[in-house]
Amino acid sequence: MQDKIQLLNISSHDYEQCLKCSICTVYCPVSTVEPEYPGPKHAGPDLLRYRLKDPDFFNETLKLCLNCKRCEVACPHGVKVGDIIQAARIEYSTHSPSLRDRMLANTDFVGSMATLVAPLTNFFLGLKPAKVVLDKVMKIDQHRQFPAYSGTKFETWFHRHAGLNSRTSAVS
Amino acid sequence: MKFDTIIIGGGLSGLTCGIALAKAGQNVAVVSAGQSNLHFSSGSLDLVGYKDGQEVKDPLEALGQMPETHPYHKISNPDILANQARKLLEEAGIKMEGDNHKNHYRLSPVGKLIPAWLTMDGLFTVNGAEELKGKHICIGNITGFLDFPVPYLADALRGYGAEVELCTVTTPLLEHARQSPSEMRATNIANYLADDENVQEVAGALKKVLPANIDLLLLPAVLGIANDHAAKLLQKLMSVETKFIATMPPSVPGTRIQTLFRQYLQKLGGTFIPNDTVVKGDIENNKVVRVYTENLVETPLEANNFVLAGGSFLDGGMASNYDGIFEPIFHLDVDGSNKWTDWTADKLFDQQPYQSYGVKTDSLFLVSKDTAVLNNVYAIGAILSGNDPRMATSTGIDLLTALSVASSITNK
Repeated sequence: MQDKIQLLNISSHDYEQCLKCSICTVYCPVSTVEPEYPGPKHAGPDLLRYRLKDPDFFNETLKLCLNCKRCEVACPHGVKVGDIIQAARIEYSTHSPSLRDRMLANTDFVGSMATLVAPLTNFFLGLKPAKVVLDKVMKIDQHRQFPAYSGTKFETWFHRHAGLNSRTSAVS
Repeated sequence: MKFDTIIIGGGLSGLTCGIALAKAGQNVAVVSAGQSNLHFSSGSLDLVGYKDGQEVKDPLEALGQMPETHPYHKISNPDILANQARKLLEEAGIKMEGDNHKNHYRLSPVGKLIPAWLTMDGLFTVNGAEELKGKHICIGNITGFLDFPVPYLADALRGYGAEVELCTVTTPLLEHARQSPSEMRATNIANYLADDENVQEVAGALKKVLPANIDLLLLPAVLGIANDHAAKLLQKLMSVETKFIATMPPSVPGTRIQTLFRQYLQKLGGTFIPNDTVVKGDIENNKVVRVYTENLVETPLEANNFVLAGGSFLDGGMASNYDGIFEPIFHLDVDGSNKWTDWTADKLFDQQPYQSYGVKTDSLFLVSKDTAVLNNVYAIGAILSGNDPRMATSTGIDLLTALSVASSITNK
């Protein structure tokens, strides 16, 4: 009998395990610098209870969550706080990806394109005016430094070198 | 993965045991499901606070008079272990003040004077309520910080004969933090005020609103999440004596203790495995030979000795369901009733039977399964049976049993 009762008590991402201890808030890196972000405890299990009653309780400040998982590592009771927040965004967010989002999400494609003209790309991405334009148009902060694109894709490099080093095997 | 000792539970007892064993040269691993109850700590530690409802004056003396069922009863050298604990705290960078034979008083967030053995340097303490009589105190708070119940504190201090004035302070940075009423917590403020210039700004703002003729300024303990630098700086900048009072959780002093202890363990070469839970173990010839964790599915952890430091029911070291109470990893012998009607008393502040439940241990803190002793498995801290939280012995149990078991293991 008790097994049946325990089964009924399993909640999505274990949100019912949340004791509101706030330890996740202690370790959230966003919470320490951005007061706009409701914090992992509030954005996650707290608001989930409201969202289950009425989707109107979702708001876009949840996008400030980095999904870095520090909250989940810190949680003493195994609540998947990061998953709760991402699941809410997937379910309720009406934000559709902009050009910026698509470019930053499709790193394979953008990387392949940038690699073709790597020296030019790297040069322009380093110029201050270019960064300001990226900031204004694509909302990529001008203080960000892009890692330099290489002239060769990693896959190309690997296939080239894997053949040469075929005698040495990977860690057994 | 093979270690000398594996400690299950990364709170005060687990970390203390790990540090002591690592200092003795052992290769230790501490497995922890999540962050510990130290995040709710007041910043004070107790040996014995109350006995039969009365405040205890000499904690070491009271420790020797514990009932047979209490874990302290198995400690033969409490004075040595108490001093060893103090040394470990100091080595980890946690400065504590206190006298093994004389409890002082700490101030709770609502203003009650509570006996304590060791209190973190910088937190407000008195040796007796008489010290408050006639003292001109200003309680300062950060505007918008809600986890610090100033009216309760003021009333309580006035009740002890102090003259109390209030002031609140804010800076542009703290106003920015205040935009989120639910997230203006002690630990977030500590992070905002981690830089010296932000502390200086607060000091400047405080000096503008501080009333004249104040003997003592009391502030919430919102400085210093990883070390005591910010707190010491503010004390230095204020010309009046400045002390801190524990806030509602999350606790900055508590977080500091956890952080510094965990870092000390790692500095000594110990392995800290966070966000993992030991789910079962293999027993051969009355010894546990290996344990399995949730995350390390294919890699059992092997060790010569194991220490259960997983805490009580809240922490997952003990578990309960409609059939009774049990220890979830090995199903060890436990002290306590399996009838749920026995678990609680009607009145909240009476002794609650379930709080004394825990794993059964022999005089060496070794556990047993189906009455057979597992001679390489020890239990320490809140998982032990026989504790009554109303005595305020919990942190002392954590420290002393951890060190006692560490000593047993190294002397084996």
